[in-house]
Amino acid sequence: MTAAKDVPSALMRQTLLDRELVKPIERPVIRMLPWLDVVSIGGTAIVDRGSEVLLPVVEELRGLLPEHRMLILTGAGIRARHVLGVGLDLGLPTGVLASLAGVEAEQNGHLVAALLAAEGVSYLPHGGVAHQLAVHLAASRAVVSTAFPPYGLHELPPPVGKIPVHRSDAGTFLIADAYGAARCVYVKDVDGVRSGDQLVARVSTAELRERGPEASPVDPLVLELLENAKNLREIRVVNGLTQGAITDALGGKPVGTVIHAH
Amino acid sequence: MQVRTEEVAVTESATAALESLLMSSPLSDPALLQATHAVPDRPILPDVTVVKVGGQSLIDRGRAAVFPVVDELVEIKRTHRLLIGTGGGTRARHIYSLAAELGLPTGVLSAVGSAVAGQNATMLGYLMARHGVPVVGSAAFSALALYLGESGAAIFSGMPPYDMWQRVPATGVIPPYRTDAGCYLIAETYGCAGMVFIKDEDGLYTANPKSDPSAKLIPEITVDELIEADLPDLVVERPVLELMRHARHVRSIQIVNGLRPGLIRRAVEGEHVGTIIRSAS
Repeated sequence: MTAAKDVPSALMRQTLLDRELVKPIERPVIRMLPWLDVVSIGGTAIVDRGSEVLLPVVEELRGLLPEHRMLILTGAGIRARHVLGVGLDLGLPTGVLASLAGVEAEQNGHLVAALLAAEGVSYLPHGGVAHQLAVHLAASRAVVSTAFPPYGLHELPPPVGKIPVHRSDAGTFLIADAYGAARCVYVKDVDGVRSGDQLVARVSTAELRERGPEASPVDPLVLELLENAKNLREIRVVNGLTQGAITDALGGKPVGTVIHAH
Repeated sequence: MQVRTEEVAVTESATAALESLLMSSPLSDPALLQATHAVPDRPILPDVTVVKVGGQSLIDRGRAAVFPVVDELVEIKRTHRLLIGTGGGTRARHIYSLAAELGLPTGVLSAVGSAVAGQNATMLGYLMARHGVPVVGSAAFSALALYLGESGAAIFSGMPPYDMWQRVPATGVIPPYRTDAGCYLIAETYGCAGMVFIKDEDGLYTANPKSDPSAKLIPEITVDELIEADLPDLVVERPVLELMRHARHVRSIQIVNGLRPGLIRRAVEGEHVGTIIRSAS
């Protein structure tokens, strides 16, 4: 049998699975866009509440454009839950449910982008965010996209049940970490993490996990991703119903809750 | 008839409870997840087998290895419907090495690595074109039923489309979900009949048989046993084991030697001719 035609490299002939053999190529990961602010707008928390809540959030984002270069991501809400319900009833697999639910996050992105169009802000699909974000942000202060990651048919089987696990919160984090963003801010409808009546300013992923799944204002998967991340050490959760919270978050002022790894 | 009616009734009440949870709970709520667990599935392509043609193990060897495999696949598709996924191989290793040394993140490695599996799918597509087998891109997955009906097989690039959203590994930057995981996930999502990995070894060994002559073949093993054994090297990507643990449809995979004629058909027909890895015993 003819031997394989190899291209010489440090990984040549490896399975890439031997932990010792892949070590020689390990380097610190660069921050591709160190000035980027990633702002994730909740679907259920913000967009589904309609003009009364969404318009002030959009106005706040508009006001931030001169100072910040933003990737604005939108999540999915009630229509995603509806289509998940129909899809589950039809016996469709998790990978198909992921594709269906992701559509709503895209729709919400188109709404937000339309409201900011006059400022030169447009909706970018996944491919544009992955490969042309730098040029779009050189032409405009911000772009809007879906917070859902492009997992679709390749969504991983969940440990329990059939709901896709890589949704808006996970997608936001993965792209922010990959770009080495300066900040990753989740705009929800809660002030952050509470301990009794008190708002917790900073909490570690480990502490948050101990409090149980309902204590976390972001999907529990994000806590796991944060612990493994290469660039991001923390995320911030702020209340989009409170005027000025997003501005404070991007200005580095204490607002909401910072969730940090280790 | 009585039993059928009861089944329908149970399903309907389960669905009502599920729908109310769906509208009121966070999507990570354990009660909601449990409720979705009970919903019956309807597999999408239950009579299709996914086969993965290795990049480093087969395609990089050129015609000596690839032509016999192509002939065998063409023969099999007369009687079995096939989805043929491709691996990356030596060029993927070169660009992973280059990109990692440049300090680039996993997402960039995922995107550039994906192109290599795509080249291999393109080449396989040209070889199988005369037999009516098309190459499908991710957008064309929606027309799969047509392709499979028309030609009995279709070729796809094995890399999952995670791109800049690829999960990062605990150490280093090499994308953990590569072409083994990508092909397996297609089989699982479509509820396929089976998943066969065509490599250049008789199956899974206790160590890498290419570098360790004392390595012994493991004919059959469960995912739990394999994770517990914590072998230094593996013939399939480690995350595939975790995916199999939670899988609803493809609860076993087989790894066969594509350099030995005839084994692919036997594996597609469910015969044990390589290493079978099972989700549970």
